[in-house]
Order: sequence, then structure tokens, then C-alpha cells
Amino acid sequence: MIDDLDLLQHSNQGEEIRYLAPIKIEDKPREKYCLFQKYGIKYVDYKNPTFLVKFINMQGKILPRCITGTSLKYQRRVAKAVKRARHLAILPFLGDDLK
Amino acid sequence: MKRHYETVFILTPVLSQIKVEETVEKIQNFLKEKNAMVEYHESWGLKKLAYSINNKTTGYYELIQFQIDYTKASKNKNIISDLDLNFKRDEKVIRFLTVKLDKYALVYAKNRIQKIKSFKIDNYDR
Repeated sequence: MIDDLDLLQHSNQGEEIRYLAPIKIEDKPREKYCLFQKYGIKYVDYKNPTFLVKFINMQGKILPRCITGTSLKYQRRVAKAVKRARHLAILPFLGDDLK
Repeated sequence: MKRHYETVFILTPVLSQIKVEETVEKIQNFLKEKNAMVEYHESWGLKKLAYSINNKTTGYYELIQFQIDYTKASKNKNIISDLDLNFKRDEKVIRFLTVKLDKYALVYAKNRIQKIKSFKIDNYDR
């Protein structure tokens, strides 16, 4: 297969072999959803760091709603749970690489 | 009406295992005196703290879930404030937090206890 390509290239020096341009796949904007309403989680546990890590960024700061997409009602509960976890030294106030 | 509470407190790592049980026993007896019914006790053992508290980096985590019946005699008025005072006075306890459990939290706590019991691990280490 490769030899044919090679042959082809040499045979018609004139016009170049135009390669297909990579198809521009513009990704569909991922619509954000509220994790709590979708899966029916009613209580945010402050003792469970693996779940709370989803809502804080690398430095340990709480992510805003516009990024995580959670509704206001549950964002307040997440904030309260994160602050309680910080008080009990389950989550750091400022970490360097949390994820 | 019944109210459910949950306290999590951290003890200094310097203590021996017997000392840890002693302080937990002391807290539970204090609660029994104030006729609060202790529902569940769980110890997470020695865990690394996320940040150092008075330059200690590890601590014994304990969790106690209890329930207070306020319809009884009015004497159990300020149990929680007395409990917090108790924690403050005890220098072995370096950090404590008492939380009221609403109905969603209660359901969550019950499921969590069943899950732990089904695993048959005494101190459920995350």
C-alpha cells in the first residue's frame, strides 16, 4: 500500500496529493445538570471527603455554581458540608493538589 | 419530640488506646446521665489530619450519634451546651463538632450504619 502511494507521488510530480483536512468536530456544549436533583441525593455528608472533592478545586476552594451547575438549594448544603469538613480537618482550608 | 444529634470529635494522638476508650466512655456516661439515648458509636481510629492542629498531624476520630427526648422532664434543657462545655474543658479533645440531624440526614445515617454493619468492619476507614 505504501509503495503504491510512493509510486503515485513520484509519477505525477505536478499536482500534490491533497490529504483530507481533519474534520473539524466542534464538541456539543456539555449541558450542566444538578447532580443532586438528577440522582435524588437529599443529604450532603460532611464526613465523606471523596464526594466533597468533586465540588472543590485544586486549591481547596469551593467551586461556583456556574461551573458545577448545581442548583442554589444544594449549593448551600454543599458549602455548609465543606465548611464543616474543613473544621474537622477532613478537608484542608488550602491544599496544593487535591484532585 | 425526639431530636437526633451527631458529634464528631478528634483526640490527640499522644494517648494510648485505653485512654481513648476512657474519654469516649466518659462522654457516653455524660450523655446517659442527661438521659440522652446513645444510638451509635464509631471510631475511625488514627487518621491523618488535613492540616496540623496545635502542631499535631494525626488524631483519633470518634463519632457518636445520640437522640434526646425533649418531651420528658424539662431538666434536659441545655444538654448540647453542657456537652460542648464538657468537650472544651477536656484537653485531650482537640476538635469537636455537634450537628443536628434532620430527616434526610437521619435516613442517610441509618443507611450508612447498615452498610457498615454489612461490611462487618469495626472502624470504617475511608
